[in-house]
Parts: sequence; C-alpha cells; structure tokens
Amino acid sequence: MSKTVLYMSMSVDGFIAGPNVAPGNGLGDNGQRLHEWFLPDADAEHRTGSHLAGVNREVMDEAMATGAVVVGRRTFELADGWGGDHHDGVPIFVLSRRQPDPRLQWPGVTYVSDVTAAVNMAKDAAGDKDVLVHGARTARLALAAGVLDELQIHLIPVLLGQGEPLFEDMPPDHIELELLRAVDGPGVAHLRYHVRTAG
Amino acid sequence: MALIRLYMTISLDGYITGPRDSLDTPMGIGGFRLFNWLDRRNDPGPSGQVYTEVLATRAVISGRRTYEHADRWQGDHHDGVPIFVLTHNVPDDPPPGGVRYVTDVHKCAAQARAAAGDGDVMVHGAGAAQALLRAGQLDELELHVVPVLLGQGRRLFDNLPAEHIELDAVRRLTTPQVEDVAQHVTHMRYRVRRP
Repeated sequence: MSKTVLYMSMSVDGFIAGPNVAPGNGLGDNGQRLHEWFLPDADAEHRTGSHLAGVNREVMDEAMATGAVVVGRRTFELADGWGGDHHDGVPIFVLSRRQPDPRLQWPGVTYVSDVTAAVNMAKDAAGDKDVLVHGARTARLALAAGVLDELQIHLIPVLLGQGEPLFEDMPPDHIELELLRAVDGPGVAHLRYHVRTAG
Repeated sequence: MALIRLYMTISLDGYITGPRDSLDTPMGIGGFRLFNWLDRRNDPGPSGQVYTEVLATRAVISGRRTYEHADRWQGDHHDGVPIFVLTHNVPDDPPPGGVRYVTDVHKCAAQARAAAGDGDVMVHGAGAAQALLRAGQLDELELHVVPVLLGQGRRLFDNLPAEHIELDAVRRLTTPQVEDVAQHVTHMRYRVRRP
C-alpha cells in the first residue's frame, strides 16, 4: 500500500534551512550546505542526482520512485513550482488555502486546502507507489492529522546553529517513531523512521 | 591529550528538553521521555557500551544551568572525578565534593584536560557545549538520538554564530530491533572539524 514519506535533509542540530529564508534564498543563509550530498554544485541538475553512487544513489532513487508529491505552498513557491514537474511528471498536490498563483499552475499541479484530502488524492494518484512529502509545515500538518507514515531524514554532519527547525510549536504530546533503517553514505546518514503515534 | 566530548540526549528534531524547563521540571514537559534509553545502560548492547564509555571519562565540564538542574550531583558525577562548572557568577557557598567553579572557558578546558590525564573529558549541557565550541575547545559530540519528535522545548544549539561548524561522523551505534522500541536510540559520534 502507498505510504506518505517526508524526505528531509537536516543538520545534526535539527535545522532544515539556514536563517533568513526568502524568495531567492529558499534554503536560507548557508542552507545549501544541507543539500550538498546530492547537489554539490548549485547549478547542477539536481533532482535526478545522476552523479550519485552507492547508498546515496539508492536513497535518491527511492525518492524519485514515488508516484505523487504533496508539498506546502511555501516550499512550492520557493522552488518556483519545479516548473510544474518535480520528477517524471508525477502529480503534485499543493497544500494551500489561498487562490493559486496563475504563474504557478500546470496540468499536473492541483491545489488542495486540506492536508488529509491532499494525501488521499496523492495516494490515489500514486497507486502502489509511495507519496513524497515536501516541506516541514506540511509534514507537521500531516503528522497532526495522522496521515504521515514515514520520515526519511538525511542527517548532515554539520551544526548550523541557527535556522529553521524541522518542527517547532507542535502540540506537547510528542510523536513516537521507530527506526526502520539506518545507512551511511558519503557526507550523510540516512535514517528512515516509521511514525508510531500521531496527533 | 584528553579529548573533550559532549554527551547529550536529543530528540530526532533537535530538542534536549521538553518545553518550559525549570528547576522544578528540569527536563521540561514530557522531556524525561528522552532518557528511556538509559534503562539499558547496564545491559550488553550499544547503550551499555556508550554508558560504560561515559563512566570511563576522568573529568566533567558542565554548564551552570545543567549543574543546578541536576542538583549539583551532590558533588559527585561519577567515581569522584573532578567537575568543572563553567559559570559567569561563582556561588558564595563552597563547592561540594569534586566541583570547581571556572569563569574562563579556555582555563576550564585546560584544567579539565589536565585533570583527565589519559582519560577523556565529558561535557554536560548545551550552554557549556556552545561556549567550548565557540572557543574551539570541543573535540567531539556523542549524541544519543531518540526516535521521538518533541516538537518544542530547548534546542541543543540555537545561539551559535551564523558560520556553520563542520563535523565528521566517526561512529554510529544503533539499538538492535529486538530491544523494546521505547528504549531505542541511535548513538552518533562526531568529530568537530577545525578550520
């Protein structure tokens, strides 16, 4: 059955972006450091990760084998909507309560206001494949709604010291996880967790 | 020379206590969840191994907050090894047991290394760790990464300068699946890269 999986690169001190995230600075100051494991050069073809090998290649291939994407509007806009195609033309569901920006509309992109509805539509679209979840805010909403199944954390050996935390201001009932897999690639440890409790 | 190594339990999302930590609630709301792995500290396996390493350190550096929140360990953290408490304001009452108060981070590091001899120095607390990092005196981090999302609380680091600090992963020890899932933890050891 299709699972929803958050893919996220994170520093050892729990940051997923540097400070001062803004349009044109989508990963915040120095935040690019977190993506160097698959994107050593900011101008490289990034999402296919064709230069990767070994464990990093396998993990990236898993992400690229997902059959749909659920993404928050902020992440989607900071990425300029990936030109309407995140990978292989799979359907993209953008979580947003506001009207779509006409410049960020493509045939494969659907704007949805409710996270559970977005996940259900994405799972339907993905068929047997998993659903890639993008963005910490969307992941937080999905966790609260009980519709996030797994977290694939790419743990980067760096201390950012400042920036955007993976999660903050969540409800005080903490969320239990179970480590499903841990593998080490060059410059990154890939930790995959199952969400045991949510909400 | 003795290495100075931070030992710290941390949630996957980067918190070292739950929210609203205080003297009465030293781990904040729900924060004691982080310490379940210590239930296995005397058992064979990764957590037992790491805890044995903790107890093999020959000196302790602690920040003042951690020291007070831990009720000063009654002056003895383990085996009576010297405890160097980094503080801006030295308390008026005499320090208990093996405790010494130090106001200068470089002196603190040097004294702790000297006291540890052939052993290593363990660091307790985010405040001391940050001060040592800034001073270029923190050599390693051993983080006990607990598979839980606390979602709020005190973060390991959130006051460092914007220049990031590179680490090298040197070891990962993961709890076997057969152990109780509530006690699972991933012990990650990193070396701090010097510029």
